[in-house]
Amino acid sequence: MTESLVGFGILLGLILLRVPIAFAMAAVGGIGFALMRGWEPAWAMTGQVAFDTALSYSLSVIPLFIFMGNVLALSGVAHGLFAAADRAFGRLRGGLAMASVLSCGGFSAVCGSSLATAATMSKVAMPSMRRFGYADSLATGSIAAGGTLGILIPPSVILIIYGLLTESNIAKLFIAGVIPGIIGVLFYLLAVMAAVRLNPSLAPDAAEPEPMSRSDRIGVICVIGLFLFIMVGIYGGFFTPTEAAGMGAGAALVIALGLRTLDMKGLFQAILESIRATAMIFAVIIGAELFTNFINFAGLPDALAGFVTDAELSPWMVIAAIIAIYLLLGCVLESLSMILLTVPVFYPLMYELDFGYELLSDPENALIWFAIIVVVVTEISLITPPVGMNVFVLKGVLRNVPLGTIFRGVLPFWIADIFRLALLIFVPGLSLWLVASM
Amino acid sequence: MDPFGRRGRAVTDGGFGGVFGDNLGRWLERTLGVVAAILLLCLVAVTCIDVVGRYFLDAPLSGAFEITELMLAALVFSALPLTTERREHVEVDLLQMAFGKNTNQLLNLFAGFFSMALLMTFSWRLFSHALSAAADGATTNALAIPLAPFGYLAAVSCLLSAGIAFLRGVVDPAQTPSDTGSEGSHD
Repeated sequence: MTESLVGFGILLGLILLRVPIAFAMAAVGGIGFALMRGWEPAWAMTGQVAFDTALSYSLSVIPLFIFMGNVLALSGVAHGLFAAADRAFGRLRGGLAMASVLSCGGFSAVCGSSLATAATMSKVAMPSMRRFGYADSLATGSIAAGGTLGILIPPSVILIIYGLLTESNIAKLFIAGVIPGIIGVLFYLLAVMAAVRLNPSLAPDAAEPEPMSRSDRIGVICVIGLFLFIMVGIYGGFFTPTEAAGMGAGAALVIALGLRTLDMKGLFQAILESIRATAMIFAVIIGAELFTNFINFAGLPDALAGFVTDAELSPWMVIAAIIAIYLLLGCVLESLSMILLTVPVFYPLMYELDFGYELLSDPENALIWFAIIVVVVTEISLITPPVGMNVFVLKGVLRNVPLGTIFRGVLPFWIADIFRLALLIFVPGLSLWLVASM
Repeated sequence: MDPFGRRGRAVTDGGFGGVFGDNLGRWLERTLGVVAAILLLCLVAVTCIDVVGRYFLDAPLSGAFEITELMLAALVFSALPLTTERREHVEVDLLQMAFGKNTNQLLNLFAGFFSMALLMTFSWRLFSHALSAAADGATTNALAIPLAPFGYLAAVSCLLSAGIAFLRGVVDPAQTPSDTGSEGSHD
């Protein structure tokens, strides 16, 4: 127990000294394990874990879903989504910001990463909002927040990794994310309305929406078609969630080549981006695995579960404490590392807690509900200062907008997220009804 | 689109700023990058052929599972040096603003050295893992593909990444100003 806490302390220190998180976790985990069990097993574990992780069939979804998102980002379908959403909301004050939120939600349905969603939509939605005189804060805030939906609405790389960590069913995790994702879009739309109501200078008077071009319409059809293809494929039993990634990437390639928006150079760039992100994620996974082996051996999860049972804490207090820890960690850690570090510690608790809800009495369901809660808290961390990664994505695309402006613009969405989190915690059915109906 | 490249370098700028030129980055992209690109496309193809074959031709691709695993390992390790070169491993630079230029350079040197030491350790462990796999004659179950070569590839990749991580600690591209991009340059 003490060893784990010392380990966590050293890890945070190294991370603050700007050592890459993956390498810091691997070093602390490996050395910690060696000090407790001896160097021989630690050395054997290091090589074994690194090799076996890279050879893991279920992790093949990571490069494939990332590649699918990157190809679609270049294919121009995002523009169609934005144009269609503009038709829906364009006549309202703040309509383009609402259209950004809705099209972020739409792109999330074919992209498994929040950062990629924010990066793609910022290139599409930002120029329009600037042209019509939207305040930078509202414009960037709506995209940074809307982009976070990428990891909640299936497919989602984070949900896949959660599934592997907890041995949960990935198809069930995906379907569980649908309703909370839609609620996320609705709450963000309300956040835009509230923001422009409170401060009308954020958005100009509504203008007539631009007409959709033929390629916009085709883009929308492609996105909806691809989403249905993946969902029907998985839930109709035609292919597994793992295979869905390969099929989705193949379909995305066909779409991009069919629309003639992807040349060889663009394709190569999309591939390079995907493989670099893949190696980055695998490094983090390998590092986290070594670190988790160490804290498991040191007995942290068991000690925690024992403590919770002995102290007879109310399950809701435990959940509240876990969420508080996530919100704090989210200020310092990047999302994927946060999930990899914390989920192995917390998920065994879901077997111990009795919430008194019929739906949560099955530990398998409780784990799925907890996944959605964790993902939503992670979404919040993506837009929380000082390291909200989605905010930095926007900053990377729009260099001359100060960080403070983006964080200010994100505030209404952050508040909406807190309400959504509370709703999802107190109404577990929102995450579990679709799972139960499968 | 460069979701993880928070250091804000243009997409075409592949190397260590002016000192090492763009050459290292370009060279890596043309060698390992091309290998990884082919592997990724093959990964897509293997799944599609397997699924389509299973449903429409009643002829699934035998060993698709193993081929996927091996290609994934090869892909990850051929991409690792590229990720390291572009400085795309996740780092948290919370304190960057608080420190002066010299302290930041020192931290950078420390992080580079740390990364090098760690990657060299991994290289050594993967090499010895591969040696024992070769000695045992370890192969995949269905297609009997030997595993050792993939272990050697992983070891070499980590060693190459170790060198790159050290170089990166010495020359920090982040020291070049990143906030000077003009409006709309990425549209």
